[in-house]
Parts: sequence; structure tokens; C-alpha cells
Amino acid sequence: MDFNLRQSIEDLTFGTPERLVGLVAWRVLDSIISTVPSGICLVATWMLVQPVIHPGTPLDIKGLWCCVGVLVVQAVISYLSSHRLYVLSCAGMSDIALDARLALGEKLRRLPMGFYDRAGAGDVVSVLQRDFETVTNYGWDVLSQVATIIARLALALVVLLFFDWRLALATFAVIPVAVPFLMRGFHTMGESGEALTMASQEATNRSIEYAGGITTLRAFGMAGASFDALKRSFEGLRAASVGREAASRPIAVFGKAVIGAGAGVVMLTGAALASAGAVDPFALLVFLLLTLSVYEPIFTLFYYLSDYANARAAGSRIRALAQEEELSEPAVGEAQDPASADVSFEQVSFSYSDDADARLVLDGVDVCMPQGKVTALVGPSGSGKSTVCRLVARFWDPTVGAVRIGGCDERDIGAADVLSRVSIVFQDVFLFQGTIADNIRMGRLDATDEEVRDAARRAAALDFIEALPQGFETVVGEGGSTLSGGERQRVSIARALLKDAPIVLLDEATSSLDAINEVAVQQAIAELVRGKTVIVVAHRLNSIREVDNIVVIDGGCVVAQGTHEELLQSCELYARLWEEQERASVWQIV
Amino acid sequence: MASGEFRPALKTIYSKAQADYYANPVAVDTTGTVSQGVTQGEGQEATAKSGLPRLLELASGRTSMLVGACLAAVASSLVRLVPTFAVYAFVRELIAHWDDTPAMDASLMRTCALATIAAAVAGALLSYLSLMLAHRAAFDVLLEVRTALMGKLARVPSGWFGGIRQGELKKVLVDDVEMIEAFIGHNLQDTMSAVAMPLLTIVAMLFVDWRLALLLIVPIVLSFALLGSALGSPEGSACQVAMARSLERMNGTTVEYVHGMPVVKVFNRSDGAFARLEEDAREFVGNVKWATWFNARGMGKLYAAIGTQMLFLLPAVIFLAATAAPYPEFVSKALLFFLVGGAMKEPVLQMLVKAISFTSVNASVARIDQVLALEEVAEPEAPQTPSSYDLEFRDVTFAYPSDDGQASPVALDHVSFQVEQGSVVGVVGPSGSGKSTCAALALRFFDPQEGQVLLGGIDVRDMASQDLAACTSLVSQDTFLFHDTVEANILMGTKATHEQVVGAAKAARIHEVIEALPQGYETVLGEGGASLSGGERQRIAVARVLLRDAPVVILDEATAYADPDNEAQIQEGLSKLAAGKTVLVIAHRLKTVEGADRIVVLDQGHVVGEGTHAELLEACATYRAMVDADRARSRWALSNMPETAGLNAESGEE
Repeated sequence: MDFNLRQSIEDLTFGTPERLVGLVAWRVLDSIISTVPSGICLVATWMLVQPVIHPGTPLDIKGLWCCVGVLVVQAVISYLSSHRLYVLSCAGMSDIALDARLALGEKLRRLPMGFYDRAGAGDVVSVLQRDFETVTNYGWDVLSQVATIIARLALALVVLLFFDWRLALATFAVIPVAVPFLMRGFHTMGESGEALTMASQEATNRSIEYAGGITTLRAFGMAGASFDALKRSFEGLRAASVGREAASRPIAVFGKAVIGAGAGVVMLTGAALASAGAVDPFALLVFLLLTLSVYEPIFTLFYYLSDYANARAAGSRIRALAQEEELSEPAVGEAQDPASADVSFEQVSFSYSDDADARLVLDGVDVCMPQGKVTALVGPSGSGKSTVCRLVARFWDPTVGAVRIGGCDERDIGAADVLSRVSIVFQDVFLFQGTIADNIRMGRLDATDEEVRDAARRAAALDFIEALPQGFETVVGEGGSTLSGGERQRVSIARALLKDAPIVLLDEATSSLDAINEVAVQQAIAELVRGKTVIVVAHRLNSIREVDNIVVIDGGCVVAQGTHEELLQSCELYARLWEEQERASVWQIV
Repeated sequence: MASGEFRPALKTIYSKAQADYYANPVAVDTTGTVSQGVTQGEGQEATAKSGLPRLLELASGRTSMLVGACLAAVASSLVRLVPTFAVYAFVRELIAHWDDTPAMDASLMRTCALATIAAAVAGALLSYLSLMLAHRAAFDVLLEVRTALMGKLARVPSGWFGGIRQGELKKVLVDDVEMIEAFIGHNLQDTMSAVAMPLLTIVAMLFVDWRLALLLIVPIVLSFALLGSALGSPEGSACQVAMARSLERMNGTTVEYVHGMPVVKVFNRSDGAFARLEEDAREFVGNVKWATWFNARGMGKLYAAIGTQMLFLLPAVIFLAATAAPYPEFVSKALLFFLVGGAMKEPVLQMLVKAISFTSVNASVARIDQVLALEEVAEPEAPQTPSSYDLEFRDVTFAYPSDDGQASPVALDHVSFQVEQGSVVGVVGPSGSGKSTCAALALRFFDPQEGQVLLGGIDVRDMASQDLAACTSLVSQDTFLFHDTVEANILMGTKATHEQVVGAAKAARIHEVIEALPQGYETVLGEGGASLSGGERQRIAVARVLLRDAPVVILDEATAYADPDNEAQIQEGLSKLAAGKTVLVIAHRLKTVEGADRIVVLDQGHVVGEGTHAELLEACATYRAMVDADRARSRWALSNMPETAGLNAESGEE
């Protein structure tokens, strides 16, 4: 097992390992307090056996009552230390964890837009939810438990050595024999655990697929037992689960048996020493009384180790997220302020990965999108046209070259400032839980009710909003009332209208709305783009036939640029796309 | 609880929920649990049993294994008593020969030692046996429950599956079922041995000395009483509920924070979103502290109480020592009790932990039961098969079932129309008019409340659902591809040769795309495999349906993907598909169905017109308005010049 102990202590204490010291101290103290009855047991035994070994000696009643007195005090102190320990282990880390959670929240705000563009949003949520829970519930507590158990074992060894070194060695002799087996079992568990994780991941994926595709499956009579993939994945999960138990348990059981046999070894040694008359009878008694409980912590240790492995993995995922790369920001006071809303690409190449041989999504794009003009990006799917749009909004920085607004490199403007100059109409609209008015007001927080209403009107959204039971106060978003796709789009356009940014990025929707809704959305867009620098990713050539500047992109390169008429003449790809769409638009099923 | 008697347990206020509770302890609902995700309100009363009995019921197919596991667990607890008695025998011998240890009975001591070793080995083997049996049983039960859920989902009306349910269903199928594993695989037999160990010990000790044995029970009773009062008090449950609720709320905010971040960033509003996250996170931590401080006293007492065996034993031993005879014998007995008392702490602690963990599996079992209790599509007792394939809606009225039990608006209101075999009928209408509902009812995703959907004169409810599925094909806007090869995705269970698959792919204009994939038809699609564009996926769907050659074809917004390089090809495929079939086309683009034999115009669930394109232009105002809007749409051209920006649907050439 690869223990990077220092790193995982850092991870599991959110960078405050010194906090662990207090907890470990309390836990050690608590565990010492809880061994007091065992000590008293020895003392009482000593007193009780006196009349037997020295016939005629009276029983030390007073001494025994003193022992009872110590036990009463012990119970009270034990209450206090358990109380303290409980509070520490449940809530001791909560402020630090809160700070760490909020720091990660801050971090997420600074990450580039492109970070959210990747598939990882679900993973981020699981880090913030599950991993934080794992670390706060188990992480540092497990560390302290492990530390305490090791301390206890060391203490026990010292005490027992004091009584009789030969019996002490006999007591601990089984440990080096057993530990390799326990370690091996633990290790095998980890290994077969990987197979189990994979089987479990497979079952999860197949379940999601089944839930998502079930109507299709049923249409083809393949639902239920006839969907082999899911059934197989469940069976695979069962086999992997059984396999993990079968692989790891026997070894661990053997280790356990060896440790359990330790008491027998002590007795055998004790018997030999006693027969030879070579042992102090009281020392032998001490060993006999303690031998059954001395091994208990070792079992517990292994129990905690698997918790520790889980917590460690969660901790390292939190760290990885906290170290995610941010976009560079210009130094304070050196941020440039673009004078115009011209957008230009200067020999821009871009790839999603840092690998030198990774595929270039854009390859030497050199294009100018002048202020106040509409530029349409056209090309087959996967040509890179949407990437151009994303780079304008600084979702990412280009791998090579520069994206400029008003002549200033976007890297010298600052991410927030770039975004303040840009409105984006996304294909899939995200509405927040809140009222429609709140959702529109995101565009400009100080907008008056009248301005919100006006934005809604210009976005052709006023009619449907007013038809809702609570009008602008209707709650939308998760758990709220549902709007149709076209309605959501218009709310998002109203938002953008309030923001009134000089550059508008449009990603034309690919899924069709019904004509009446779509005409309304078109109207809203027409309002939004009036007088702006517009960059549109166009899917329907018909709608961009009148724009100033059409850029045809294929395979990440600009292959042609011009007006509709020019391109029909000069660009074969454009002419072909146009011809196909013309044909498609007059298609009838029969 | 009477509010007059209420005394806050803590002086410090850690959270809003705590402040609210202290201000008005009655108003806070502590009985309700946190919301459970799947299908609230559905099928909750269907299964009577819950919690532990229900779990055992789920596991009933593996009873013998589980009984075996429990017996082995108890046996291993019994065996674990052997070393204690071996030590006792050894100690007795030692005390008897205190001044002359060489006189101790060597064979007795060896027997004690060997018995201890044998018990260690036997105990380990027995607990292994118990664990393996329990795990086998657990994994079998898991597989059974998952298979049952999977089969159940195949019989629930298709309409039940909305997009949002995917995540919830995955949670039930994987996570919730997994919870059972922990219970059957570990908790059941752990509980058995945790209970058996102290119980058996005490019973055994009753034979040694009944008075001291009874004293062993005192700390156990004491700890359970303390645990009960800690868990049961109103403020105790109030803080637990507050903690669970604020956690759920924080998790919800986190999801919105992450998923909404792009929008938040664009509008530079991340301060507000962050403030919300911070507020919810602080409230959660506050509730954690409330619960912690509230529980700390009870837990402190509990832990202290568990360790009090000696405290109760020793005074009794002092009293009994005065009259004990023979004294050496009594001392050995006392030592035995000391030994047992010390060894009792761990099992009791285990018992308490198990007692708490029982509750955590309940929510999962409840969610599984909710799915298992869902109403199924009713299968006819005497299924009929149609001899022809005319599709008819006869006076159909339908409203979507709602989750909250309230009446939802009628989606189709006394709708009647017919699609004769071999003809094409288009259904058009504004969004929300009910046109997609027609497709859902024809495929029996739902059953209408009134009227009938008939195929070849037979009510679709009188057909076996397999038969209905076999004679209908659907091409819709979303194409679901499975994580499997391209060929399997086209085959979809149909028995056909590779040549036929290639033929269908060619007809659907997707053959070249497939050939260009790394492994051609053997390329695996989906996660980690090749990905296809929306238009390409749709052409796969067309190929599927072409191969299947079902007599009834339903196209729902099938030309939605408007990628220039795809749409024309999809259309070609669809035209091939429709030839000679009963075809129902749910159309957004009027153009698509202009040439249909008949067009049905729906508006707000009513049929407002029916006829050919030409007839409807004459007679149907709704249709005319749609045609106008359609023209305006396709005439629209993006421009940011003020004079052309305003758009007027009426300003056509005609």
C-alpha cells in the first residue's frame, strides 16, 4: 500500500494538521481513562489474593472501597472526557470544513467557463457533496483512532514488559506473524475492490441507460429480462462482490485466528515458566487477566483502515479540484479597457488538451468580426464553429494566438470584464429557482419592475408571463412551474436584453420549436441584436442569408468568408450546404 | 409535547432552525422525514410492511442461508467464551498453587492453552462461514431485487418515465439496493452475535454465581435506557430533522451553484449565488453543532455507563467476600467476573451502534417499495391480434397523471380521427395542443380516461403489449443509443442477417458514416466508444425502424435536427420508411405534411380541422395562422439593423 501519510493528513484535515493534535490528545486521554477499570481490576485482584497467598492476612476492605471510590471518580471523568471527545469528533472540524467548502465555492467562481463546458459538472457536485461528507464524517476521526490505537498498543507493551519481559514477548509474538496476513487481506480487498468498483460503475451506467432508454427498449420488446446488458451488469456486480469477499476474507480470517491464538501462546509460555518455578505468580496473573483484551485494538485498527482508504480517496479528489487551473488574470491596475467592440482572432489554434499531439479543434483561425456587424459562423457539425463562439467569451484561452476585443488581448482584459461585454444566448437555458422577475433581473440587479416588464415585452415574453397564475412572481426552476422550451428561451433573452452588452453571442437552437413559438423567439432575438456586434453559430443558412459577414469553417480552419451571394459563387462547401437545406425545407413525407 | 414545559437544552444558538425551535417548539414538525426523491405520493400505501420486517421479507428467498449465517454467528460467539473459561481455569490453578507454581497441573494448563488456540481458530472459521453465507445471501437478494425492479420498470406505463426520473431511478437500482447489502451482509449477523455474546455470557455466568451475573446486566440496561432517552426526546429529533433538512437544502443549492455557474458568470452574479451557498452551508454546520452539543451529554453518559462493570461488581464482591467459603474458590470466581465484565464493553458498544444503524436502511427500502408498488400497464386476459392496421382514435379524452394527486388539465378532449392502412396522416397544432399526446396514446405510453385507441378495430388495451410493440415503430426527436455495437443498436433484438442490417443502414443514409468508424459495424457506441452527432443518431434510429418493418409508423418531430448536412438525408430515410405503411406524423413543420392524405389540426386538445392542405387553407383559421407563422419563420433573416429588426408576420407578399 502506498501511504503518503503526510499528504493525506493534510487532505483529511483541510490543511490544518495541528487540529489533529488536540483530538488525538483527547482520544489518548480518554482511552487511558477507560483503561482505569482494568488497572483497578489488577489492584483489586492483588488485594483479593493476599489472604490466599499469605494465609492469615485479613482482606484489605478499606483498600477495596478505595478502589470503588476510584471507579466512581473514573466514571465521572469518563463522562467528561467522552463528552468532550464526542463534541470534538463530531463538530471539531465543522468550521474548518465549512471554510474549505466555501473556499472551493470561491474557486469554482474563478474557474474558466470552459471548465463547466466539459462533462464534469456532475463530478464537481459529487466532490462537494459526497466527498466532503466522507472526509468530515470519517477522515480526521479515523486518523485519530488509528493514532490512538497505536499509542495504546505501545503503552500496553511497555506496561507488560515491566511485569515480565518473557511473557510480554510471548504476548506480542503473534502480532508480527499475523500482521502480514491482515495486511495482505486488506491489500487483496483493495485490489478486488477495484474490480468491484468497475462492476459497480458498469451497473450504474447500465442502470442510467436503462432508465433513459426504457421507452425505446420497450418499443422493441427488449425491456425487462430481455435487456441483457443490464442483467449482465447486475450479475457481474454480484460476481465481483462475492469475488471480493472470497479473495480477501480467508487471508484475513487466518490473521484473526493467529491473533486470537495469542492468548494460548501466553498460557503455554506461562505454563512452562510456572512449571519451572521461574515466574512471579502475580506477574503471571496480570498477563492472564489482560491477555484477552490486549488484542482487541488490532482488530479495530483494520476496521478503521478501510474507512481511512475511502476518506483518503475523497480527500485527494477535493484537493484535485482545489488545484484545478484557473485562467490568468491581468495584474491589478494593469487590466486593459477595450475602446471598441471589435472582435478579432489572430492565428488562433486551440485544442482541449495540453498534449502536444492532441487534435486541434481550431487551426490558425484568423478572422475579424467588426463592431456593429453580424458575423455568422457556418460549417458542418464538428467543424469548430461553436468553439470560436466559446473562445470569444473566454471559456478557454487559445493554445496559440490571441483573441482580441477592441484590439486588447482578452488575457489582458480580465475574465469578468470580458464577460461583462458579452451576452450569450445558450441553447439550453438554465433558470434558477426563483420568480420569473428574479430570473430576468439577473441581467441588471438594479432594474426597476417597469424595466423588467419592458425587457419581457421586447423579448416577446410578456403575453405568456402575464397569462401565468402569479405572472412575474411565478416561481420557476427546479421544483417550480415548468415553461416550454420557447418560453424559457425568451426569459433568457429578456435577461440578456437587460444586461445590454455590446457583443452578442448566439448559438442557434438545433431542435425546432413550433412555428408560432419560434417566430416569437426570432422577434426577441431581433430586439437583442439591434446595433450590436453579433456572432452567431448558424445551423439554418436561410436565417443568415442577409448578414454582413459569413465565415465558413471546416475542420477547424476558415475556408471562406463573404456575403451569402459571394459564397454561393465562390465556396463549394457553402453552396452544397445551402442546396441541401433548400431541398430539406421543401421536403414532404409523401 | 406541551410547550409550557419546554426547556431548551443549550444556551448557545448555533443555527436558525435551532432559534426557530426554541422560539416555538411545537410549530416545528419533527415527525416528518426528509423528502425522498422518487414518486412521492405514489404507491405509498401499497406495501404494508416496512423497516426490518420488510427487509426480512425481501430476503425470504434466502432464509436457510441467513439462518445458517446467524447460527454460525451465534456459535462463533459461544466459542469466543471458551478462552475466558480457560483463563479462569488457569487462574484458579495458579491461585491454588500460589507459593509453589511448579506444582500446578501441567496438563490442565496445556489443555487451557490448546483450548484457547482451538477456540481462536474455530471462532475465526465460524465467523468466516457466517460472513460468507450472509454475503452470498445478500448478493443473491440484491440481484433478485434488482431484477424485480428491472422487470417492474418494463411493465410501468412508458409515460411514467420523464427525463428527470433517470437519476432517481439509478439511485434506487444501484444505491438503495446497495444499502440492503450492508444490512443483510453485515448487520444481521453482527447484530445476532452482538446480542448473543453478552446474553450467552450472562446465562453462563448465572451458573457460576447468579448474584454477580445479574449485576453484569446493570450497565447494559443503563446504556440502553440512556440511548433511548437521547434518541427519543423532542429536541433530539428536532435537531436531527433540522440537520437532515439543511443538508438536503445545501446539496440542492450546491447542484444549482455548479450547474448554473456558466449563467451566473456571464451575468457577473456569482456573488449572489455564492452568498446563498454560504448561507446554506453555515446553517447546516450550525445544525451539526446543535445536534452535537445536544447529544454530547447523552453520549457522554452512555460511554461512561458502558465502562461501569467493575463499579457494580466490586462492591458486591466486597460484601460477598466476608461470608464466602471456601475463600480461594470465591476469589477465582470474582476474577472470572472481572474478566467477563471487561470483555463485555465491546459487544455492548457494538449492539448500540447496530441499534442506531437499523434506521438508516429504512428510507432505501421505502424507495425500493415505492417503485415496486407502481401501477403496471394492464395486460388483457385474452389478448387479440389485429388482422389489419388501420389506426383510429375514437372519442379519446386524456389528462396526464399528476404527481401531486391534483387534477391536471385535459390534454385531449373527445378527439376522433382515423389513419387508414397505407395512408399518411399528419397531426399539427401549436405547442401544447396535444399532438405529441396522440403519439403517446397510440403507443400506449398511457391509457385514455375515456374513448378508445383502436388498431385494426381492436382496442390497443386488448392487445398484448409485446404484440402492440411489435407492430408499431416510433421515430422521435431523441434517439437513444445503447452502449453496444452499431450493429446491435440497429438490430435491437431483431433477428436479421448482417446484409439486412447493411441494407437498412444504406437506406437510412448512414452506411458511409458507419463504415468510416474505427471498427465499422462492430464499433461500440456510447461512453468511451464512438460518438455520433444528433443527426447521425437519428439516422441510426431510422435504420432500426426500417429493419423492423412494422406496419404502423409514428414520426414524432422526427425532422427536428436541422443540421444542414443531416436533415436531407434523414428525410430520405423517412420517406422510404413510410412507403405503404400506416403513418402518423406529428409535425412541427407544416411543409412536412403538406402532401399527406389528411391533416388533423389540434388546438388545446380539440380537433379544430381535418382535411387536405388545400381544404384546411380554405376552412380552418388555426391552420391558416400556422401556415402564416411558418412562412414568417422561414422568411426571417437575422439582422441587427434597426429598420429590419422588427418582424411582422402579416407582411407577406400575398
